[in-house]
Amino acid sequence: MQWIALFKKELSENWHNKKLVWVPLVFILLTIMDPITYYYLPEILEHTGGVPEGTIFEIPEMRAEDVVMLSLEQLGMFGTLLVGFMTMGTIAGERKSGTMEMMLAKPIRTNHFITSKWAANALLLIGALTIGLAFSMYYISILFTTLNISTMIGVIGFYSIWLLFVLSISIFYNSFIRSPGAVLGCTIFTIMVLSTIKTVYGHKLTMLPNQMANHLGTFIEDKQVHTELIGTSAITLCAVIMLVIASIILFKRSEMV
Amino acid sequence: MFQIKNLTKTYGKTTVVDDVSFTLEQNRCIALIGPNGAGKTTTLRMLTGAIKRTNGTFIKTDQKEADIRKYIGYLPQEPTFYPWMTGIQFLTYCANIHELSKELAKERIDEVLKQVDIYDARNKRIGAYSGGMKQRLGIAQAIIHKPFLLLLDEPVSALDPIGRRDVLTLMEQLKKEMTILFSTHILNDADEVSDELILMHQGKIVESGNMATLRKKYETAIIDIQFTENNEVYEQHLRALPSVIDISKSRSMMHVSVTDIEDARREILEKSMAEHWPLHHFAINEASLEDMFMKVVQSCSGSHYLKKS
Repeated sequence: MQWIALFKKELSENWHNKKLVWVPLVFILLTIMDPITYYYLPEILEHTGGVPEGTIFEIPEMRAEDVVMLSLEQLGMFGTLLVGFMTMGTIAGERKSGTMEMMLAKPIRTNHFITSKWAANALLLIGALTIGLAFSMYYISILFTTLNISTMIGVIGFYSIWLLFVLSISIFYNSFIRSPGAVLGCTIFTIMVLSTIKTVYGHKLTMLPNQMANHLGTFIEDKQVHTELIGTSAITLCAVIMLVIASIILFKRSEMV
Repeated sequence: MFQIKNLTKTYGKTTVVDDVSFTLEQNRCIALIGPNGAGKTTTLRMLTGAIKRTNGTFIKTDQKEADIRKYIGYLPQEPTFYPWMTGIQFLTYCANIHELSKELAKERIDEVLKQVDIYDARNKRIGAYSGGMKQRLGIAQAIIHKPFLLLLDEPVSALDPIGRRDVLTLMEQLKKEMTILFSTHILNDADEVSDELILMHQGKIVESGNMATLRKKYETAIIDIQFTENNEVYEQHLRALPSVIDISKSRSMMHVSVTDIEDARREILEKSMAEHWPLHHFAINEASLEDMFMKVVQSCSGSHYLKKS
């Protein structure tokens, strides 16, 4: 009952600060940008001019599978930033504004406080991702070829795990850092470190959470769930759980003001 | 009854609250007074758990429940709310956090809204509330679950005279239902509603006790006298009395220091009856809180912090 109250408050707060509107909109924008630009690329080039007459462009024939991957690449970069922006103040903001000092004098259980915030943001992210990819799928099916639904559901499912991982990193920093800006900085820094590790040791560490997009590429290509995709998902989910537990412990030790 | 023992907070080498112990009896109103920076807010925050204690315990003596927050209500110094919620939404949220049943929650919300007198504004967004209304909503959220102990941090300091009066009256009512511990640096507020005082200075309790007892302890043997006319003449008459030591004046009021209040009163009143002195004002000067405050604070540290201007 307490958890439900906290969760409902997070949801209505997301409604009142319009996150429920702009987060899905940004996801839609990110995912449909590539299908549309690629489709119109010849015309765009033609109209920008400055190309000598008679130039012939060899634009590779794009398949639906390739375009979905492009959408996911967009999400990989800007989506991560978006998650950071969206969640940077979820706890740090309350600590800073002072609402937490008053609310946490009430018998709110720490695990309820952290998990309700996590769940409300997770719901918003997965919802926005689903809406975004649905739009992208619609454009892809009009402009290119049709993708089958089960592949899309798979993509949404596996990609959600990656987004939950980014969310959990942000919640983790939120649990003990006072300033929302610093939370965002730390989240981005962590993702960058992970991506450097991937670049250097990627060939050995094939199941790092940020390998998810690569494995998804294979999944979209041959419609098979490979062990590496399963492994990466399992490792990422474990990391999510550990981050949430760590957040609860660190939050308990932190001061509310 | 609540018991606070050896409460201490240190940041590095600075000790903000230093080994503070006291007990809070049922249905008493206790004022935590002291100059700014005395450690009042830190003390209250440690009781709610907002700040971690370096040392010390805080228990409700007849309960074994681990989470003491169930028994307390707290209003911070500058309460901030979720501005997008309405008053009634916020109180519903608080009631749900306390896990009150649906019926009880509804009943209590109605009750406290009326008690703090924001019933008419219950469907307005909190963002549109005035400072006084926010303060009253702050009290409402603190008492929604009928706590045994209500902690208020500077509940009236930031309010205008009307808001201040409202909150003090409300505290007077709440005192019948629960123990109140409130901090203030305004001595008059403490004087008006509290039964007991805890005086803090530089993180330590320097004096505490029952209001009346403290008054007695710091009572000065001074009688304030004023005549309708010829003050100077009668001043000489007064000085001639055996129990009078000295007279200081502020405007036309004479502050007569005497050896003993009882003797002096008899002498002065007998004289004035016999000689028809035009007595206009005669009062035993009770130690005001401010005098007490100054005395204690200055004696305990030779502090130059608060000098009478």
